[in-house]
Amino acid sequence: MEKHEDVQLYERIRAKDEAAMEMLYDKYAKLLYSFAYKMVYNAAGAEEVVQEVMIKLWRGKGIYSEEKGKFTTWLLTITRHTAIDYLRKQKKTTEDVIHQETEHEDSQPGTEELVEWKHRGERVKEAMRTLKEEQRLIIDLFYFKGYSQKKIAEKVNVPLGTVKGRIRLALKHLKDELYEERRDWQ
Amino acid sequence: MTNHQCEKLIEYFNGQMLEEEKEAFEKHLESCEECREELSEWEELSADLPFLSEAEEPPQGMKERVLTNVWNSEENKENTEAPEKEKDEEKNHSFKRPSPIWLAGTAAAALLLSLAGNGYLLSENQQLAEEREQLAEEAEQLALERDVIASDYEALLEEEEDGNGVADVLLASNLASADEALFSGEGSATIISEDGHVDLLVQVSGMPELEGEEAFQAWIIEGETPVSAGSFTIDENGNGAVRYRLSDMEDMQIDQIAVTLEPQPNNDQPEGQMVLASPQ
Repeated sequence: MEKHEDVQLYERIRAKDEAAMEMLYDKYAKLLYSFAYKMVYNAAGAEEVVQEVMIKLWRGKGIYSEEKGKFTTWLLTITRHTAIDYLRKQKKTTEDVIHQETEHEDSQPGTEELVEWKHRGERVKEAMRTLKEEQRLIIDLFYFKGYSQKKIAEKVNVPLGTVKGRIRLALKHLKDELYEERRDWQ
Repeated sequence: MTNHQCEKLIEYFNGQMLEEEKEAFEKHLESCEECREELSEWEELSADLPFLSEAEEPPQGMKERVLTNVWNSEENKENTEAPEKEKDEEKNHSFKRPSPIWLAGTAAAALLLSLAGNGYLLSENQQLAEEREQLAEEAEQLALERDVIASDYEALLEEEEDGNGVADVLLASNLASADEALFSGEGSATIISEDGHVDLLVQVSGMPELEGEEAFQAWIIEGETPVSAGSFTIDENGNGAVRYRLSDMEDMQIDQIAVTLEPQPNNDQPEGQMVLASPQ
């Protein structure tokens, strides 16, 4: 149902409907901004990433179809790749820092999406806590920093050949933990 | 099955590929079921991760700024890129070039939908658009870097007003690894003018160790033609540099600066692999 609504919005955007573009912005800006912020860790950068994503959408760069899965997932993937590009450009000037997870009080639960997101976030965070420190670091470097396997090997100090296996193991562990929880939760 | 391609799945997943690599990998995906399955596994495994982000409040006025730029991006596209887009269309179809109005608005979406049956053409068009955008971004980045260096230089000048023989930076560019998975290392290319000469200075760091006769070699690329800017080796920390007098060249058209790993020093033409390059 919700998916259908997104697909309709997307199709209207492809037909250059400005109102639809604005609606999509209102619906997703906060989610995408927060995700981009987690990756690039500065407000101006996160805004730039979101803007880039919106421009890509408006200009029809990258095409969504329902067989690509959920619209939100697709949008988040574009955002992640855009943020990784941004990070790579920045890398030349700044040495990156591993950011500590900061828990801050949520300001105000907004729309339905935001509530669902917060809820889901809590569960993923819970599951993350069951991972080893090194596994959390590997997920952060790989997923949120977009590091190559080689750079992860250097940073975590493990043999290059084992990196892929380690990322996969960490993600699998996380997923198992989540499914476990989901069963309890449902 | 191309094992070599299968190994690149993770790079693809993280969007770490150049356009042509990406294209090659997507071709490979079509024929390799194993990779398709593995890719969707990675997607599934990571689907929950974005939700780890804490809710952040977007800065004030962001919506207005972003949307203004979105609308502007469209104007730019129509003004500067429409002719190119038309060319793409023309290349792919035998029918006469559509008017720009035809391309904008709902009709463009209809056109895209009608092309959907032919995924190859569609992705090729998309590819071209992406490449164009990437080039524009890189040019912008380079301009920005140049501005930063120019302002650093000005600051330096102010400090050193009494000094003499100061070198003037004409142009500077980063050299990035051509394939991060294969080569470490980074560098910079700076063009300076000093005492009436114009020199190119290539500096590298974090480069992989050389073996036997191997040497790195810097190249100035004009169009398709590489001109050697000298060979150099590195110290135990992977640092190296070479200087080349550009003012001795007949003309100084430079499209790109690159560093290759050569089997022996001082080749006339590159034989080895490109390790570092400036944005094109």
